[in-house]
Amino acid sequence: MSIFLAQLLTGLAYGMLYFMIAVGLTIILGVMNVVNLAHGTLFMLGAYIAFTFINDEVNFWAALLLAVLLTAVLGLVLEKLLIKRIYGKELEQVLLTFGLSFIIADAIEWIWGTEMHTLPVPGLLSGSLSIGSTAFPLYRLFVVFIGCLLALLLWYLETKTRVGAIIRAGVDDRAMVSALGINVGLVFTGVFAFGAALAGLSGVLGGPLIGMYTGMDSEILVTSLIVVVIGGLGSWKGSFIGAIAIGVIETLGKVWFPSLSMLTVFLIMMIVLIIRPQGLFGREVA
Amino acid sequence: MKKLLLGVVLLIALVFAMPLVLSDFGINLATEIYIMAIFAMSLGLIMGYAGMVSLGHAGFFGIGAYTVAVIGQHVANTYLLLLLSVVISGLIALVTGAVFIRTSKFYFLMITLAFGQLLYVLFWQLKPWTGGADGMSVSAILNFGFGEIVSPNGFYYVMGIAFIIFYILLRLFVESPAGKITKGIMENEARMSALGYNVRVYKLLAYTLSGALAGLAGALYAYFNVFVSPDLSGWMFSGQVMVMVIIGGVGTLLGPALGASVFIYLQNFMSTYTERWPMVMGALLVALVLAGKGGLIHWLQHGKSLFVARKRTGEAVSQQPVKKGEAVH
Amino acid sequence: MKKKKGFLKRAAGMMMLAAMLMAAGCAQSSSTSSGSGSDKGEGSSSSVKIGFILSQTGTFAPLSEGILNGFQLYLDQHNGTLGGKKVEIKVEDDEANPQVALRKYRQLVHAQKVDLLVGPISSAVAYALRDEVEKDKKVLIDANAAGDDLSWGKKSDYVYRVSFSNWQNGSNAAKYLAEQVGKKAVILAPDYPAGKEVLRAFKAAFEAAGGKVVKEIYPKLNTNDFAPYLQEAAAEKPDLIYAFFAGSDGIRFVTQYKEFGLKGKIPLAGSLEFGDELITQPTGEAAEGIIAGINYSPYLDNELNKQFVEAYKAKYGKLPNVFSVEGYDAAAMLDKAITEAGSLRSENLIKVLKGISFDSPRGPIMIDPATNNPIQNFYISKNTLKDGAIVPEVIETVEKVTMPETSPFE
Repeated sequence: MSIFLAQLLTGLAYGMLYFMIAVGLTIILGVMNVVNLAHGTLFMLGAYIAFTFINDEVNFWAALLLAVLLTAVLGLVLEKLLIKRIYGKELEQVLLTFGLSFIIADAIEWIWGTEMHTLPVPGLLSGSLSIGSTAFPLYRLFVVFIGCLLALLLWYLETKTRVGAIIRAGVDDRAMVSALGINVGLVFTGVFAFGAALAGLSGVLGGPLIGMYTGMDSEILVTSLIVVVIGGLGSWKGSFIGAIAIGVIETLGKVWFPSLSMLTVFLIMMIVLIIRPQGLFGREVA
Repeated sequence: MKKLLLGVVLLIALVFAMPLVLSDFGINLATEIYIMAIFAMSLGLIMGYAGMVSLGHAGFFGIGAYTVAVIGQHVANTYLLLLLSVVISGLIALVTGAVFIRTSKFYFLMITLAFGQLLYVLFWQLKPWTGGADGMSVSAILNFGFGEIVSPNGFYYVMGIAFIIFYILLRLFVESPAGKITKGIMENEARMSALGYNVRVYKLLAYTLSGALAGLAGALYAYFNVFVSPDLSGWMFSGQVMVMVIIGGVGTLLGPALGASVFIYLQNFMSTYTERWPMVMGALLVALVLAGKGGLIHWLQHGKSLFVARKRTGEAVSQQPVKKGEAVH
Repeated sequence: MKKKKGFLKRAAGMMMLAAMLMAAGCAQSSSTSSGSGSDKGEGSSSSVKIGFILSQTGTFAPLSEGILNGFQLYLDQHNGTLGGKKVEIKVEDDEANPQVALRKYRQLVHAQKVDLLVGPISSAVAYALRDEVEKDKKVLIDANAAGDDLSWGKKSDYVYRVSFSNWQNGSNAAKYLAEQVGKKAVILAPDYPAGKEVLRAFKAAFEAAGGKVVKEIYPKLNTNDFAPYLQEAAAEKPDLIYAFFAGSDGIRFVTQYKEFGLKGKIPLAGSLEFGDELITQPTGEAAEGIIAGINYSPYLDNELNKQFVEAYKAKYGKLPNVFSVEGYDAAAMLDKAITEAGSLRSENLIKVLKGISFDSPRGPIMIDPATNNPIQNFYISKNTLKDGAIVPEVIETVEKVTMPETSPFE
């Protein structure tokens, strides 16, 4: 029984990590209708920036903050220079963000080399909790905690703040919002930077669990695209539920159907889309 | 009909003229480009004429390639193997497509991604038949009844002619009533539906044709490369062919073919010059988008019309404001 | 009429562009082939052109870098020559994909006219190249790909492995572990050919030595979370856990082994990857106590290794890993082979490569003519923490680990 509980908890922690990885992508998609294929690369970049600071004896939390800030700034610059030119043009978005991911990933390899790294678990959280006969690392509980916190923050931003109201209105009717004298361009820039910051954040928080290595960006990208699709495009609530479901099902699947583990997430996605072509929480499409 | 004929004559001239200027390796590369061009055209068909962007198209390519590799161990007849590749991949496209086209746009992209991965894993796991992740050698030899084709030049002409044949067939489809209806659906699904067309049937028809052709390209590739591995169905390859179509020009048939040749060429030579080739590749993609003219084929069109405008007057100038997609369908 | 013009223009434009590209491609190839001039006069040429097919992008990038670094270091130490011939190297990225590798191979052999090939990382690529080198009669020095069948069913006179095989990697420590650590083992490896091959070799040797494998677990390649597998393995209460995980999988496995409280409770043993810098450096303390059967470590106590490590550190600012030494040895072996053959002709090189022996920082090496695989020493070692770094302390040397001539599994 305690093993099953531990596995459930493992799945939950893993799902929360999925949620953090995907949430930036889903927000950008929901608000701006942009598929950001450079998302996985921004995740990777966040981890590497934090790695550099931590190696320079900067405290984990300060490094986390710096990495989030820097990825946000990069997101801001990218939106201002490039992304804003291709709103509404889907194929151009694919090509441009794909190109960007190539450039950033190669720059990372250039700067940091090809060696693999991990981020250390911050000292405070390096212990583990014992559940029956098995141990459960504190850091994973912390990831669950941060994931919930993030969901709460998003809920608050969306429903209780002016920015949230503007964004909700902007998604429905962009022209109307601009007519009200609100600078939609500015909101979009902010949202893109926010999405990039979330990618950076998850990169740092995922660093101790996933590690850093060349080629990780495409794996992260595919994972987050799947979470986004299962949840329904642009619905962060969908991503939240979807991510947890994937985490738990994948973890239990590893034990019950080990030979399927290469396919689990893809199968989940396929089944969801066959039953609900617009994802769990997506809007009905005409 | 006449214009198609003239164009085809030009393409034939191209295929037969190139060996005169190409090195041995150039011929080899051109052969591969013809195959990739067929593959890219098959994806270009559903992307540009039916509005379906697939990220699992390599799945069909893999089916075709593995058909030749696996069944080719027991069956020698080239016609039969090619036919089997087309039929198997076409059937799978028909069945899966019937489910997939219920989704649209981004969801379609992702469900096809899952489909491609499914096949990738299948080829990976069925080790006794497919050699698993280590891949397998292809024992079947290309033979159309005029002797075995093994020389690089032989392959070159076979693939070049195959490219022309499938270009003609695709063009005929695109200009047929069914092709035009499909395109109409892409442009305004609600209207075509209101006009009484069964939208799904036409989408499914395009998807099935596209899958079958991709399977054929895969089969030819297996003959050419004499080695198959699960990577042929991987999403990376699907992504690459998608990029080929977009950089070449969506909404055209020759665009994807052009995109394939440029992509393969760059992939092959850029890494020779610089270890930082992904960065150069990325920069090229970004530059192409920023230039804002769409695919390369639209560039050619634009350049040509400028050139012609300078030389002649009147007719060419009136043609000049090229609307992409429209002028080049 | 208007439409026709449009089409003609397109076709003409396309022809132009294609012709341009092709011309550029062939111009490039012809210039380089005339540059090397070694095409026909192979035997007497004063230079040698070596083509590398490695995986420079993606997860194998660090392995490729190690091999290139090692090879380059050897060249630096020998005035850029091998066997007295000036060396020119051409490196191509196969993206770990056999299809890309075949295209790059054709470019290297037919356009660049390389004399010899060194590569690849991935076994799938090696199997794909194997048929081609056989056809073109080019010698390929396998600097990493460990697939067993390259020495058995798919052995080729043109392919010589300088690294190690999965069989060697899995089997070498099994006897020691069964006799000294425990009889009941759970074994884990990623679900791909190398994983299966390492574990089958381990299992056969471990059970031959009186041990018993009670459970085999194969997580998918690139598993982020090993927790459920670790919980499953621990539930068997084995005497030891033996695992083969390379790259980032290895790092995650070793760190999670500790995080989930298994470190210190159940002894962890593994293949050579678990004693290699590439994994022990990032995992640090978590890798302490692991028993690994390694074929190289920068701390191996021999004169050649000391010099190698010194020079490597001076040039690259870091310690060499097993892949660096593979690259270094590929160069050393070619140096000796070209000298002895006195020519770059494949038929002459082959005669020399069969049974060639040389000293490596790993210890003495001999290419077994029966398998084209190196007979080499393995070192049973235990990772210990010294001044914050993991050092594999050699417990026992397993001398001359030799692959069987044919597959014992068929």
